[in-house]
Order: sequence, then structure tokens, then C-alpha cells
Amino acid sequence: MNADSVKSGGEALPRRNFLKGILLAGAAAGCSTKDPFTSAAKEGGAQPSGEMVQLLSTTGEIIEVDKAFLKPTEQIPSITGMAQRMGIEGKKFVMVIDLSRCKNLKKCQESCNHAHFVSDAQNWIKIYPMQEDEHTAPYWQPTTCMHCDEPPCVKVCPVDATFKRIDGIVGIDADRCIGCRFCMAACPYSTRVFNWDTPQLPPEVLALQYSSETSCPPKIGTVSKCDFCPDMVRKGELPHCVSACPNGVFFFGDMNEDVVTNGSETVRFSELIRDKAGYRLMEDLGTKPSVYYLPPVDRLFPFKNELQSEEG
Amino acid sequence: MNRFAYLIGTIALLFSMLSPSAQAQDKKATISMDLTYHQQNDDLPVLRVYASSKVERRFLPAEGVEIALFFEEETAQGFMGRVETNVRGMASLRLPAKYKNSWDSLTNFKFIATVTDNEGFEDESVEIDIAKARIALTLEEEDSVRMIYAKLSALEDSSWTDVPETEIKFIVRRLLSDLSGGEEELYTTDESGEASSQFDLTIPGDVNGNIIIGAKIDDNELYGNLVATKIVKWGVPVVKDNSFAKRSLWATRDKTPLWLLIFPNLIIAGVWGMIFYLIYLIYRISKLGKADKSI
Amino acid sequence: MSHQQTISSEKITSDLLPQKFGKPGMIWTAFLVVLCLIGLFAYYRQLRYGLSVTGMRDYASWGIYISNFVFFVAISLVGSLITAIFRLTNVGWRTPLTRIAEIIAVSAILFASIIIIVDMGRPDRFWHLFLYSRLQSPIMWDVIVITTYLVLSVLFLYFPLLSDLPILIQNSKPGSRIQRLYKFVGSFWKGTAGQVALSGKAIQIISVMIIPIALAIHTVTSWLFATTYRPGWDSTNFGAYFVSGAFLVGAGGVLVAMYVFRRAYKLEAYITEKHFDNMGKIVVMLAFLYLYFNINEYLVPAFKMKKAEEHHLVSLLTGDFSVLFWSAIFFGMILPVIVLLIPKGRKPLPAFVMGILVVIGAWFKRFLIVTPTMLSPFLPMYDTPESYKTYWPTWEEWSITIASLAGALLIVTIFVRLFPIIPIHETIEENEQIKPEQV
Repeated sequence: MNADSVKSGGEALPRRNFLKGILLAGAAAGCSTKDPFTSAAKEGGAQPSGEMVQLLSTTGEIIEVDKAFLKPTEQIPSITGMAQRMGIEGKKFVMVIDLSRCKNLKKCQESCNHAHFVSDAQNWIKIYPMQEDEHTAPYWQPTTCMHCDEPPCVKVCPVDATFKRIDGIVGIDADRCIGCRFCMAACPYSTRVFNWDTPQLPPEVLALQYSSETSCPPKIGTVSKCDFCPDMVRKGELPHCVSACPNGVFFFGDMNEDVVTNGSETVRFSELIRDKAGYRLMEDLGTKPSVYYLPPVDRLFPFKNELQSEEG
Repeated sequence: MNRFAYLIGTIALLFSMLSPSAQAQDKKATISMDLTYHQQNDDLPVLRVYASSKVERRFLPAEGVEIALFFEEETAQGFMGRVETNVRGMASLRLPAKYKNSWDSLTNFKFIATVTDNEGFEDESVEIDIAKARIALTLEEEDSVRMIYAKLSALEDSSWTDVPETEIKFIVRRLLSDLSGGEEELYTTDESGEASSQFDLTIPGDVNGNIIIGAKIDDNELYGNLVATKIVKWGVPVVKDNSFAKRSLWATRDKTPLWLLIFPNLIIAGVWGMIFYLIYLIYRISKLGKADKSI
Repeated sequence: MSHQQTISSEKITSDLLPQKFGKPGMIWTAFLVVLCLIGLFAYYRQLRYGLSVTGMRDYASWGIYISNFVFFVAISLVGSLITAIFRLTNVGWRTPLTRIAEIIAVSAILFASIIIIVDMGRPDRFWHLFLYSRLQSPIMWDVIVITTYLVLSVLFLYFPLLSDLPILIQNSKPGSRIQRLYKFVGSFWKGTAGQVALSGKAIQIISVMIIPIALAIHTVTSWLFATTYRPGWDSTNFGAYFVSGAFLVGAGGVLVAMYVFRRAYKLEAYITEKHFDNMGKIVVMLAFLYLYFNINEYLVPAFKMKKAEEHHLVSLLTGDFSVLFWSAIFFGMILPVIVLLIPKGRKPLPAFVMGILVVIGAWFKRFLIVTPTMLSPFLPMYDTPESYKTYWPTWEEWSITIASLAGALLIVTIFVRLFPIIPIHETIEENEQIKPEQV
């Protein structure tokens, strides 16, 4: 869950309560002049707190109700857990990462960590300095979850806590996960992280109901990973890493539409992969990733590995 | 003694140097706003505002800033609403319905965005002036040649007049962005406000082959962002992928492959059948023992 | 069984009846209880602060809990080895060893299932395994097969125990708690022909059934690793490799147990040097078998040195884990083979020492199967804190692991206090059968 929806969600709560108050008061106005909350709550045995709240009924009257008699409505997520497990029908999300444009700015990682409350030690996006051999070219390789079409992690999950959605996304249900970490052993891309500790979260995030579309709030003793930000896609926006990258490294889109975009450029997916010889990581394992890479040819930036010299 | 006075003097000097910089830290940052106008077909327009502020010599999105939006005048009358920027510094508001009549009749109108009484930022206000314009979109297919026509006109003295020499794009609408749909990236309207392009993309549509084709003007100084769209069956029908419903090793528990259900369950049933038989044997042995006692 | 013909039934009964703990027994039991309590405290801390109290992190996401689990599953295989295989092949000298083997099997498999819950990040959701069970996952197969093996092992312990119960009831204080326990377990056993026939049938059925299931628990446990892509685990050899290793550690465990019970309960007349000699030979055979699989498992990939395997193999053969690796191979396999090949090496004491080496070597072998592979991912370990790149268990992990081993020993200890470790009735029967033949 990104911070903006957290806040709007928190605001929506009293507003929704107020709305419910209006509706109930309106319904009650037809049969009785008394407000419906007090009578209903007294039946339930609630004690008045003495603090009065003013509500507006649909007939335009203002009624005063004791605060203790108002039941807060539970915060309902905009889509059900079942719909989150199912995914968005008719879509097949893909990502294309152009290695020739990456200069290890880590903007993708920053924005991802910020939006998903990921700790620095457990980045979902990692940017590897790659050099297979002394005589081969060095380059930066950002990795996300590959959202494989035949995901080895999903195969081994004993309780359906990680699952493949109809739109190709591999999600995690942190309310279901038992923390056996088999998926972490099964993933060849080392993309999964485990909440060893109680996650440090702002209280308003902690209070939210878990959503597998935002992977928030993360829960102790369960696994987390990149989720392709389907909540952003539902809002018609790009995943955080894609929009954060100033060099347009990440392209995202729907394979069924055959179009990917990095925010400023919109291109045909099939043409991009064909013309620039796109490939996938560890194709030989048969995992069929949804993340494609464009080879690091004609690079925009020289490879400078500041970190490796520090590490020695 | 002399030294002591010197020390005090130094401390006093340090304080006097520190205090203005401490004040500077308390000073609110400046915020910059970018207000844009977006209007599609006959819908009410949407106002988008992007807020950013300078942090360490770089402009970064300002998150969680409350911005008040006004229509025509910065008064209670013109107050459209208050929005809060998201993690990307973006917020948007659709023109409230109560202003529809005045929006319909005006040829020029003004929008104002203000930040006031903000804890972190100084007061700031931006406004944009928009001239009312519209794009008429026509899609035609003749002898399997598909053509897109667009005509841009603006409201002047309560009548629509053609707008020439304006840049316009033809697009195919996709989930998260627009793909260029014309033969060229950019077109310019002629003296009658018209532009046209052949459409020869082979592009997937929905299951029926429907795609959304549009003509739009982006970031126009006078007219803002306008787009006209139409749904047309010019796409390739997408074949529905049924692989999700299939039984597989990576499917959910209700879609376990049949062989993985049948054989293990047969073995489990067989083995546990034997285990229950063994438990039954204990029962029979105990029966025999009790019968033995009565003899 | 030349010794046995000289022993009377009364002598056998009094020799083999469970005895009250002496001073060493009390100290031993108290020691185990203290270890268990320390482990419980460590687990309390783990429940409270999460798995962050362990040394495991995102790369080494499995640690000694999992290797300990594999060790327990391995050692539990012994129950089927000694009992079932020897029973079916009618090995005459098996009688004194069957119950030892079977109680080790039961307590080990019980603690295998406990340690796997300890490893879970959310033990409070253990019931999800049954509510949402998903048959595609090898973990589900393991849950099923371990449950089955546990139940079958308990039955395999129970049926042969029935014939001892009248003797136990007879020789215990009337109305005492222990007698009530015996009566509860099987006061119905009268030893009638019908009962003997039924019990014999049951034992025959279990002997046949338990062999494939015992092979299955270990094969399925190996699949928890072999169904992943990781270097060192991605092997078609893994099932057989694990089973052979389990046979070895199981046989080593029996050697150790034989020696301890023989000394503690003065059973020299029943667990004879002949038994040590025979078990010693078996351990040699199994150690060779396990060595064979080890050579397959490491030499073949090392010959090719595929890029992905290189980091893992180098860390084992010459790198960070090489001392541990070569020690486990030498002390856990080669040295026992050399010593036990010499007839004098198969005397009780040296055989006992070799048994201990085999068991300890086996424990560290499991550590070497899990950890070096976890620290050899396909993509290099990068962009992660230094502490995430290595693995060494914390005191909580050690305490919990030691407590689980102590707990398994405690179960065996308590069982021996309550029930005869060598079947009394069966021994008397065999003794009587031999007599007429010899006369």
C-alpha cells in the first residue's frame, strides 16, 4: 500500500461512518422520530459516554447521538481477498528491463522500498553488478520478482499462500503463509525475503487489512516480495519502480495488448523484444519469467562500480 | 581572566553565527505546483496538480500536501474542493457538477490551485487560463482502408470556430498509456482545423477486436489537454487464454493435477486402510482376551 | 544362541524387567530434563521475538532446524531396518535389538515433526496445513508420509509388547500406578492361541508395510531439496543418497544404544559380542554404500564444474566448509570402515566409539547438505548486509536443537524405565525352542 492510499483510506473511515449514519437515520425517519442509534445500542447494552455527536439525516434534520451508540463500520478493502487472488481478467502483465540504460541510480529501489515499507536490508529490487568473466562486459542488472508462468515457488507452497493469478502476477497472502520458507529455497532468482522481525511500520499502515496487491502491511513470520504493484495498475498508473526511473529502464504493460511503456515512451512489446533481442533470465530452468531483459549493448552510461571497490 | 573573556567572546560569536542558520531551518520550504487541465469527449474536465519541492538542489515530489482548487475565483463560491497529493506528488479533481452550466457557457475560464497554512511549505498559488475547445473524431473504413479524421474547434463568441496550425496526435488507447496510432507521431491541423491519417496498425483488441482510437492535443497553451475517443472494431480479437483454469503443479489446491490426486490418494487409502485394519486387530485381540476371562 | 540355553525363564524375567533408575539414571534423566528446559526457554524467546533470534536470514533461510529434521528422519529409519528386514529375513540374532530400534524410531520421528513446527515462522498457523493442504507441495507429501510412519511405528512397538504385559503385570506391585499403566496398555492379553495368531499376523503385515513407508519418508524428505533448482540439491540421486545415509546413521545409532543398554542394565548375556560383531559388519557395508553415493553426489558435478555448481562445490571441497566436510567424510565413514573391518574393532567398546562417530558425522553431514547450498544462490549475494551472507546458528538455535535431541533421548529413557528394552517373552520362547534341539 502506498502512503497516499493509506491516508485516503484513513480519511475514508469517518466519512463512511457518517454516510451510514445518514442512511440509517433516513430509514428510521419514516417510522419513528427517535434516532435509531440510541434505541438499537441500548438494546445491545451499550452505556452512554456523555459525548454527543451531531449527524445529519436525509430529511435535513440534525440529530444528536451519544458517541458510544455509534458502531464503527469495519474498514472494507476496495476489492475482496478472492478478487486479489484471482487477478485482473484478460490481462497478462510483462516487464521489460533495458540493461543498456541502467546506471545503478537505485531510484527504482528507493521508490519501491518507500511505497512498500521495505527495509534497506531486504530490498525487493536489487541491482546487481554483473560480469560473468574478466573478458566479458560489466553491466548493471536490476531484478524484480520474475512473476514466472511456471513458478517454482508456487509449486512448492503447501497452503496456497503464494499463488499465480490470472493476469500472470505471483502474489503472497501473508494471512495464509505459515513461514516454512520452502518458496525461498525454490526461487532461483533469490527474490523472496522473510520478515524475521516484527516489521517496523507506521501505525496507520499496521491497522490496515492485508492486501496481496500491495503486500501491506507485511507480517512477522511470513514471506514478502515484489508484487508488480497491481493496485497501481488498477488506478491506471505504472508500478513505482517504472515511474521512478529517470532513465526509463523499466517498461511495463499488458502482453495481451502488446504494448509496454516506461512512462514517456510507449512501444509495441513484440517489436521491442524482436528488434533488441530481448531475453529472460535462466531460461534453461523452464520457469518462463514475465520479466524480459534487453541486452546491455550501446550503453548510455559507462559502467562505474563504486560499491565493489569499497567491498574489495 | 583575559582568556576567559576571549572564550566567552568566541561562544557568543558562535551563537550569533548559529542562530540565523537555525532560523533558516525553521523557515518553510517553497513548493512549486503544476496545474493541468484534462478533458475527454463530453466529460466534465479533470484538474491535475503536481507538487514538488527542492530538496538538496533536486526537485522531488511533495507528498501529502493539501491543495485547494478554485474555479474562476478564489472565493467560497469558486471553491471546488481540497485534494491531497500522493506519493508521486500528484492529485486530481473532477470539476464538480454544480459548475457545469458556467463551464458550458464560458469561452475562457480560470483554475486556481493554492497551498495555504501548510506546516512545511510557504503559501503558494498557481492559476491556468483555458480556452474552451473540442475535437471531433471520425473513423471511416473504405475498401479496407481505415482513416482517422479529427477536427479541432474552439468556442469563440458562442460559436465554434476552426482552429488551424495546432499539433494533434492520433492514438490507440492502451491500459497504462497511449500508443501512437497514426502514420506519423505528430500532425498539424490545416486551415479548416482538420487533420487525418491512415490507420494500418495490426494490434490486439479485446475478445471482439474492439480498440479505442483517439485524437488528442497535449499540453496546449490555450486549450490544455483534450482527447476525443471512439471504440471501433479495428483490432485483432484477442484469443482468451484458458491456461489459468487448467490443472497444473503451480495452480491452486482446487486445480491439483488429476494424477497427483488419484495415485497418492489411492496409496494413502490403501495404507491407512491397513492401519485401520491393524487397529481393528487390536480390538479383536482384546475381545478374545475378555472372552478368555469368562471361561 | 549358546548362552541362552543355560538361562532359566525366571532368570531371564528378572534380568530383563525394567529397573528403577539408579543414581546414574537419575542424573542422566535430570540432565536431559535441564537441556529440554533450556530449549523451551529458547523457544519461548523465538515465539516472542520471531525467527530473528536465529542466525537464519534471507539467503540462509533454512538452518540447523532443517538439518536436524533431516537427521531425525534419517535415524528413525533404523526402526524398519532392524525390525522389519531382520524379521522378514528371519535373522536369528535380531530379538534383543528390535525394541531398541523401534523406540529410537518412534521418538526420532516424533521429534522430526516437532522440529519442523519449530522451524515455521508462524507455528500458530500450523492448522493451515490441514485446512488449505495443497497436494502439489512436497511438504504436504512429507506431512502425510511422516504421520503414517509415526502411527505405523507405534503399532510396530505395540504389538510385540503385548506378550510381555502379563509378565510385567505379574511382577509389579498390585494397584501401583505402573501396574495400572500396564493394565491400561494391554490387560486383555492372555496369550491364547487365537490372540497369538492375530498378533503374529499383525506383526507380519507391519513388517512388510513399514519398509516401503520408511523408504518413502526419507525419499520424500530428500525431495524437499531435490525439487528445487539449487546447486547441490538439484540431483536425481538424492532419494537413494538420503536413504543410504539414513541406513548408516540408523545402524550407528543402534550400535551406540546396544552398548549403553548393555552396560547400564548388565545385559551382557543377551546383547552379546556376537551382536556387536554382526552390527559392526552391517555398519561397514552401509558406510561403503553411503560413500558410494557421496562419490556420485560430489565427484560427478566436480568433474564438470558447471558455473552454478562451482561456488557450492568449492566451498565444500576447499573453501569455508572444507574442514567440516572432510571431517564428516573421514570420521563419519572412512574411519568407522577401517576400524570395524578389523575383528578386534568389532568388540563392544570400539564398535560403540565408531557408532558415536557415525552419528555425529551424520549430524554434521546434514548441516553440510543444507547450509552450503543455501549460501550458493544462482545470482551472487549482493545488496544485502554482511550478516546476511553467512550463517552460524545462535545460542537459541543450538539450545532448541540440543533440546530436541535430549527430548528424543528422554523418551527412550522413560520408555526403558517402564518397559523391558529386550522382549522378555520372545527371549524365553527362543530359549525354550533351542533347548530340545540341542538335547
